[in-house]
Amino acid sequence: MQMLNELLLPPTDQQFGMLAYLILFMLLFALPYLGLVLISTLASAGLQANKSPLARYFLEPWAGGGQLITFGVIPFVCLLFLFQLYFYGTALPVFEYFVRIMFPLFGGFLLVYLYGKSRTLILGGLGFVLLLVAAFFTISTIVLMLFPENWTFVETPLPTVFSIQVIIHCLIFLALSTLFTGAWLYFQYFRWPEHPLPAGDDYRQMMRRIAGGMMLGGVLLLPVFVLWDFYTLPAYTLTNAAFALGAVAIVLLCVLAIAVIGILQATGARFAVTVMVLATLVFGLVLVKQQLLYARANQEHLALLSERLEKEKADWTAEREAKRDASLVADEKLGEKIYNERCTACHLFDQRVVGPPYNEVLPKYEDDLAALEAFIRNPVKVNPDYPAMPNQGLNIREVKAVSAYLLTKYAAKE
Amino acid sequence: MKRYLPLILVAYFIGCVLLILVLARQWQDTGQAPEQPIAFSHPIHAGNLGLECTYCHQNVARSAQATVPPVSLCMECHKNAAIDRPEVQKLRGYWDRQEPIHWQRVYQLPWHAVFNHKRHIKAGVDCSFCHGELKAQARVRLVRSLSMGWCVSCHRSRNAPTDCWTCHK
Repeated sequence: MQMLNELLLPPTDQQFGMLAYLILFMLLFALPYLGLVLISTLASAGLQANKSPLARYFLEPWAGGGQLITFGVIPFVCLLFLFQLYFYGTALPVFEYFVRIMFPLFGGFLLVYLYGKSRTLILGGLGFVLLLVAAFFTISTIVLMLFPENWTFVETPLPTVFSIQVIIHCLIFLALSTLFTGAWLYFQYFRWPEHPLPAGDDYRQMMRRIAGGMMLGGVLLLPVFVLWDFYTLPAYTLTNAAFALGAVAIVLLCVLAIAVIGILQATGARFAVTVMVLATLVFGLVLVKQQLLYARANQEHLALLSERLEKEKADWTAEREAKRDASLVADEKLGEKIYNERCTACHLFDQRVVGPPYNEVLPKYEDDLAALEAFIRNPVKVNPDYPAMPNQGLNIREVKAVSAYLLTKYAAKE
Repeated sequence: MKRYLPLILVAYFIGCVLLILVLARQWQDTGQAPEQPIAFSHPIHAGNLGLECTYCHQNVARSAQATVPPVSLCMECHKNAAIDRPEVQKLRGYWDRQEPIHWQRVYQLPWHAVFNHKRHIKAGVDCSFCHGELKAQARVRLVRSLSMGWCVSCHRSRNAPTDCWTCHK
């Protein structure tokens, strides 16, 4: 959106680093919560269809109005602005993508809230479908961060949906959400005193089987999807740290799997805290791993953007200063700075380095400052004994400053 | 069976970790920036010194290959410049032995695809579009997927030919 782009200031390298952390921070709230509500709604609607009294217990702890707004709505609104800034300087209409995602997302949250109150099956079903659509498009927008090379070509109203990476990332999200929901359900009803299940061992066993089944499905499928992800990602997105985090996540999943087997075979409240902590940790680790991949993928984009911004800034400053000082009095300090930074790498006054000594070449410019300026602005090979002088890319003000400085210094040496 | 379940699970996860290590190894061997015989620095030459790409890659606008500069071109400046640096001394060694430098290739298309630098430069494609910001790459690394989808997307957006024959001769 043009208006928003004009409001935003171009971010610097450091701000981009901070932006990546902020996005990660918001995603750490937004995605696990969206996954929790999504899978809980599905499980609850399934039980509701079978008229099970357990249905209400799946959403009650985390689908209240305040929770939906705090963990569902607010992080997504923040992400909208963060992503707009992250994709600054690209033609991608990220703002529009997020605005489009808001409709199914907020609609889904509203329907889930109403379903939690009324337990009307159709509301739950529709809410689940809308949230699933929102999750799919959110992930397809996030996956865009992995492919800066395609940013120029994305023209569709919604980002590159149905690419293999989007599908794998959605599968990872669903597996993580199933694991996370199972772990939190188990923790909630076997450790947390405020939400007791209806009386009777049958309900406890049923909840244990459902939560355990969710966790087991998640831990078994997740490594396959993570491996598939690594296998299909382009080499330029990968880093050693991402591989290491992937391996650590799988080791944690192994511990989780053994704990889940223990949960399914026992009757008490064993491992409730362990699985909740480990499942949350695995979700976080996978998100951090993704963030590392995005950072690596965008390294080049950021370098190019930073170069462009530097150039724009330099042009703007030069233009402003040129206007202010129409007579262009040569700036001696600037001349000295350029002389020390650029010229001395190849030229000295009395001896050959890469280029010829000044004492040989400056005499012909002694009374012709304009010719020296013209040569510095557009150097050509003069003497075959020396390599051609590269164009230094100086602006008019810098050329004038360094030319005057050179001639003054030459005259003083004489 | 129940007794062995934890063992089977542990074996499954160990297998997955091993597969990750295999993928990581494969990526390190092929996908990362390869080590070069001389640690040539684009940030110094293209960044600090401001040399244009064509100063060294002189054939990029007139042939299919961008070509790596001959040692003699490096020596035009390094006969005198930075001669105390170890990497420049290595360069000097190649020059004295009259030996070519075996640079490791970073950008390699599959055998069934052809690419012509001259045509792309003529069409106004900036070097950084495919090679990224070399001024920031201490060691040159692959920064694009070089996938067919990427090439075709760019060709479409610039109204360049998209017949198979264009790239697959």
